[in-house]
Amino acid sequence: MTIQKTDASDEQLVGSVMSGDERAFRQMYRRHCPSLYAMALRLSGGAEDDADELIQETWIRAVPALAGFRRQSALRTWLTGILINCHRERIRRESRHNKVQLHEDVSDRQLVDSAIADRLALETAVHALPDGYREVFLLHDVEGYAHHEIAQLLKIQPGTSKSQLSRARRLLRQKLMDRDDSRGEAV
Amino acid sequence: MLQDGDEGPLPEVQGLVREISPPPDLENRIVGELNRRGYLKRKRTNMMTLFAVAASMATFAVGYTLGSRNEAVMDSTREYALLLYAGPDFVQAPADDPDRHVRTYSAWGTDLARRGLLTDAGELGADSWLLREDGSTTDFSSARGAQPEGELTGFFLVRSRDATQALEIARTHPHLRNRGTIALREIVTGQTPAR
Repeated sequence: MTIQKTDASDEQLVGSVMSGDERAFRQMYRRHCPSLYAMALRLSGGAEDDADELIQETWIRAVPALAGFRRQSALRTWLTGILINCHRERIRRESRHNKVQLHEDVSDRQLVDSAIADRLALETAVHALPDGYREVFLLHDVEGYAHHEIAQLLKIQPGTSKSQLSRARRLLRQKLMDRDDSRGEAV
Repeated sequence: MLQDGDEGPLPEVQGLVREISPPPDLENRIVGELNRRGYLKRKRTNMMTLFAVAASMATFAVGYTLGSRNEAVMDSTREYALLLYAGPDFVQAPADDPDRHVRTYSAWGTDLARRGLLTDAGELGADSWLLREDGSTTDFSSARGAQPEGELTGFFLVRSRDATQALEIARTHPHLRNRGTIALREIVTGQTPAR
């Protein structure tokens, strides 16, 4: 007799979590959280405590709202939307309290999968992007969302998404070039 | 289509990781908060209930059958522990028949007991701790489902007057010096049948 079953689909998990099933929630969390956490960490400029809070807030907001999940998008997309909303609200709160901080030092964090300096520099440059640019850049170039999906997630026009992406890339290239130049001068 | 002046994605982006494991304790913190707010139900799982039922039934059955000095008991010289886990994929009993697992597991245990093949069974209490080789002790009481890392390799059943003494005993186990991890749980029901 076997009592194991294959992984439940997102749809099955949504139903189970809505009925309060803790195990189903843990399965949902483990399936989607690594992607959400990478996003949260980058949105938070590499600050792990902030990313933790963002993730916690996202799930606490998402679980009671699952009834409103229309299944028109993938569950991860829906969760990413909540994550971004939580991030934006926090930015607004923090800007009111003048507590915005940028965590430039990412050298000891998980953000890079190796010590390759270019990637590290890119992470740092991404953290320095203005919030709107950073969101579009992460969603499009890192997460692979299309502009029309980003438009829905961020409640902007697809054209705005395209232009912000373009500006984000330009800023990042400039930042990386500046770094290369300063490195060349140092040598 | 690219915007004017946009040279396309930066090649360095390909090297960025798309998934990062959150801190191990974050899941339990979130589950704890969701439980506290009533969004999730911290079930006294079917597994827990069935242990209690199976233990009582099996103990009764063993006591009843030992008198017949079952041949299997006479020949049994080794004991094995069956450690039951219920991971995220575990199939819970259906909502319209919540006692289904209780019945099937109890029947299984009772049958073993009749044949003299069941030594003991028990239910694990809610209080739980995780001891590590660095001397740290984590209280997992509010984080049901939390599991120590690594492979399950053995168990000891110890007697103590309370959890404090049990923790003291556990901290002296050489497994910790070997960089192993020990999960400590109280057995709140079940009793070793008289031999």
